[in-house]
Amino acid sequence: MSRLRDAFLDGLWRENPVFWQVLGICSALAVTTRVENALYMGAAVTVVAMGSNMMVSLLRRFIPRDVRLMVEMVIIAGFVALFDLYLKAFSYPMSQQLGPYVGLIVTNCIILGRTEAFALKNGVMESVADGLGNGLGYSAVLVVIAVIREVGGSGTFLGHQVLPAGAQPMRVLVAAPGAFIIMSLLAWAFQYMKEGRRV
Amino acid sequence: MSELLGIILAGVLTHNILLTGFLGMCSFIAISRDLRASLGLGLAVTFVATFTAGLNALIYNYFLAPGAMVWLLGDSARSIDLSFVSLIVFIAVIAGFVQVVEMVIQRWFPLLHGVLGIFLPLITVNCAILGVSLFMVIKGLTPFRATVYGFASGAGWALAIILMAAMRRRLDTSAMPRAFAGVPVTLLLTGLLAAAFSAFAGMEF
Amino acid sequence: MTEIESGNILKSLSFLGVVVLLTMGALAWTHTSWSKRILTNESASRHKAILEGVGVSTRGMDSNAIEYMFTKHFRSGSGGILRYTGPGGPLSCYPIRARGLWGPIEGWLIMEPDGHTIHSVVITHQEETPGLGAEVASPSFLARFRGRSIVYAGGRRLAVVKAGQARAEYEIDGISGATLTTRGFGQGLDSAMSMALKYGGSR
Repeated sequence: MSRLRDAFLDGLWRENPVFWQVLGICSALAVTTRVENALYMGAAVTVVAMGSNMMVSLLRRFIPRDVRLMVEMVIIAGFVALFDLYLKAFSYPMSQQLGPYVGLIVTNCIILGRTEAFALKNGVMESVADGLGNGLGYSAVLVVIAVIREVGGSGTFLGHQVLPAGAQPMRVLVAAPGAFIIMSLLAWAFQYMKEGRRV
Repeated sequence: MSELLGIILAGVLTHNILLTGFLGMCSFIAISRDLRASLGLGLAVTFVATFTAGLNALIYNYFLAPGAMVWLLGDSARSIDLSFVSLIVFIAVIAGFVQVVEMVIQRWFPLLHGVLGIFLPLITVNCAILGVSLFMVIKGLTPFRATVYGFASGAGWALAIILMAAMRRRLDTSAMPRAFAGVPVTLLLTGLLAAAFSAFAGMEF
Repeated sequence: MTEIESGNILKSLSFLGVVVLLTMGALAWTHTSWSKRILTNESASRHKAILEGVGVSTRGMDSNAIEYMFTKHFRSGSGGILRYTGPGGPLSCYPIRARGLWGPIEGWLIMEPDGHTIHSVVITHQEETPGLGAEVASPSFLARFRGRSIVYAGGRRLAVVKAGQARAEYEIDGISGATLTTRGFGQGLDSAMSMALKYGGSR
């Protein structure tokens, strides 16, 4: 049980992929103009990470070493395409909002990295826990950035007006430069904590 | 003609795939540490983006798009829609193309292999390349325009990483808080670069 | 990766092939079972804008309800024209197909029964640059057309001109910073107006 918990907690916090390893920030920056987008994107990454970790772990004794990267890519692409279909069928406006960024989960280094570094060497349950932890850790970062950007940049939270009507929202937060600057400040804070832990 | 110029200027300046689309950030942050490597990776991305966008557009427009196979199977194929496998096909084309290019330049162009060789494997997982193919579908581009768009996006990505590498050379000798060095300062500079590029937005073409 | 043995390459490739086939099979099966929902969603998202354009609110409606309202209130005529007969009607809707900088711009020119007054203009599809050309779909830009006549004295037609250069009464300001989008949209709108003049009047 503690191994499951470790696999989960490592992904969620102790080795949070976005901050400790700066992986997969493409979509973290692109889709976080609205909190709702970030929630769906986080769910997508979590589901795909769990699914592909599970499949790769199940097949780990059979996958030939020389084509294993290709096999992992195909499995990941399959799960991503599945999630894309799900959004189109059951949440069409959101699939329009996220557009190609759902497909781009395929190249999200986190997922390929986890199948390669974890699922190939560990049992099915641990791999699913690892995928869940990494996915939720990624989603948490996404949601934090999205809250800052949506509340600060549009004055809304999940589409509801939260800033008083007179307050002028900071448009730059929604634009591309704002995303980079927020991410930079958050990364600074995280690196500061990391340094503090080491010293 | 002015349309093609518009696609190129938009891809490089106003609609830069890295600075406004956030694609290819992982290798951007890792590689922009080194100017020479940035040049090499920039070239490789431009090269691969140009050709994979064209190839994927051909495959999409003639096989995968809804009703695309009418030319092959006649009117009965009007309802065939294979677009749900595009993602897997695009990834396979990109991986295959990179593999073939690597073998070809290793065999016949050793000089080029010296420049690009180590970067090619990095490219399969560069989201800018896949991003170009996915955006090309959404924009509904013809194979020719997709190739131009792929070239423009790749060149824009290369421009951004080369500019960033040049800036980061100065950072090596600047004093700053230890926790701010590395990723945070690179992201901040990227933000400023994106702000500077957004000034092109008022440009008329 | 020195463990690659040439004898195994065939085995490896067939393993890869099997994984690809299984994945595609699973996708094909899912796609077939969901395709009806997906098609309804796609067509409802196209019809939503035109319903809003003629003044039918689609707030909180799901795809099936939108499709129901659309088939209830609209009749299609020749040349892709739609006639609206619901509350606030009758109105005629003429398709706008324009070339933008990035791809097609599609929408509807919705005309009052008098045949020459614009009720509203809606955009159903555009891929222009956010903040620039994409303003073509913004309520503030489209509001400029509401209630304008499409014909003026001397046979002049309503025309979209470069941003800030509208002088005469038959001119409308385009989108600033997006000359190509403005030009393409203007041409598309002009052919829709030709249709409106040809088939115009109430029916």
